[in-house]
Amino acid sequence: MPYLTAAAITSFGELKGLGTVDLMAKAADEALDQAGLEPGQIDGLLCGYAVNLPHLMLASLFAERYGLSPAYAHGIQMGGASGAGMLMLAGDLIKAGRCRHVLVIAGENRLSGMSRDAAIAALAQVGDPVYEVPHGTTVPAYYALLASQYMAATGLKEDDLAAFAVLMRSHAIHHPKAHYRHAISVDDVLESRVIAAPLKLLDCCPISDGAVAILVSAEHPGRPAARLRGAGQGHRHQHLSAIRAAEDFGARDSLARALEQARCDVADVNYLGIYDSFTITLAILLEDLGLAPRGQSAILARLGYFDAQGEMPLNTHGGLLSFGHSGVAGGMAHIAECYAQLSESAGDRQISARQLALIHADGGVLSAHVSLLIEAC
Amino acid sequence: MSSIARRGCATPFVEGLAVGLIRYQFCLSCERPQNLAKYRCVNCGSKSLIWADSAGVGNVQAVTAIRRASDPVFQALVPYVIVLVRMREAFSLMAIQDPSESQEGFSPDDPDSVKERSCRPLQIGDLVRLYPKRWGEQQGLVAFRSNPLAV
Repeated sequence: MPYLTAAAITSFGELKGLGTVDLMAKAADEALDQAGLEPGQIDGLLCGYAVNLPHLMLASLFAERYGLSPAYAHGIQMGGASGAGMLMLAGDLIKAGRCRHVLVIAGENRLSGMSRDAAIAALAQVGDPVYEVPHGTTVPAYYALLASQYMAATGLKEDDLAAFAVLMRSHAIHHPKAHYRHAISVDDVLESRVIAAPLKLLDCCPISDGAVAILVSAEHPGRPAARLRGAGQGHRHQHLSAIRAAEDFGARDSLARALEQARCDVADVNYLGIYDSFTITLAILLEDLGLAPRGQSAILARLGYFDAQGEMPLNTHGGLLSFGHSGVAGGMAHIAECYAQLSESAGDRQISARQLALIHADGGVLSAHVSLLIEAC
Repeated sequence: MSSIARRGCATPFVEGLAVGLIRYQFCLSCERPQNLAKYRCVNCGSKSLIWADSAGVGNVQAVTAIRRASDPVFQALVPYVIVLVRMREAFSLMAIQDPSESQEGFSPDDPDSVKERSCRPLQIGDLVRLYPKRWGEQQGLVAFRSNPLAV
């Protein structure tokens, strides 16, 4: 059985002077400390890509610099789903007996190491190079198009989306490592400048520097930890223009496969870590996964259902929207927070005991989906 | 990446735009159209795909006005409207508001701009006519004019 035995996270924000590999090393140091492991004990290494360091073999590069000689190592590219995808693979490597300690790592100085325009341009390439990108599209524009269609179909409104931005900020305020920690209101979100209508600045995650390292091991560490009980993926399209049904993006395929492996029901879940690159991403995923009725996720948010003290705490670190987004590590922060909460090591942010968490991440334009069911143990 | 490598199986689409045609893929096995360019039919898996010419008319399926662009060429154009259009032939295609219209200062997203032209903002469901567009160095665009909306 694969166990999560450590999850380390650097501060997110503007971390001048640290490169992508420096950030990864920092997170790795803390993860090894938490788990009480030496680099020589790491026999598996999975590494997320970095837009700012498009190296052919980033895992090998990191292994060399950090002094690892793993028996298994490579990088992964699944966009925002990379972190959850690496956790899934780490679990399978443990179960297959190939590795005993897999280090899952990603980091990037995406904010201080490259210009915003360069980051926006690089990310826009998830669009189709013939049918989409020539029209001056951006990732916010892909999600804005999705939002316009989804909102027209479900009745979801702009202030509904704003409620999620406010919720994520209310959580980030309590996390000392979050990128943005000042309170915001629904009006602040609605009045922030338009990026791609109907999405405004505060509907969009920021670009951050940061890194996350998670250890997946074959044995229980003998202290409160977590185990990976089930995982699944769903892939139905890559490009926005290829989406066939605007309310079935592949998230449900992924969740159904994870639930089947975990042999449990979604009703057993009592903590959520859901990908939130934009407010609309979060609303669509919550509704597509069946965690909220169509068009009504924001009603639950306003009722406090997703609050840290609510019935179904959601992204208690503040999510990509407020904790920050440093590429693959941004999506791994949801897993790191889930581990902290389940292993009751979240300090001042610790919520009431949680038994089963659902992590769901998507890459591209709701293109690559990964669901993880993680249980306290 | 060379333009040929980028085009791949979309070459007939790109070549169609160059001669003023909007082409789409159609499966001879299941007789259904499909979005974008693919090697197999997304519905039945058949490789019996042909390229047909579209009449260029459809309804707006999704719409956004971009106000933050990264490319200087498009930064000069903001705000510009992008739509996903459900074509009458039952496939979807992305299009941009004709850059010459954006440069005239008209944005179908902006209430003031819309008022000036005595029309209403572009909405989901609106009819639009799409056409191939060459704009400066930018080739291979599919464009629409949002005012007048009449087709």
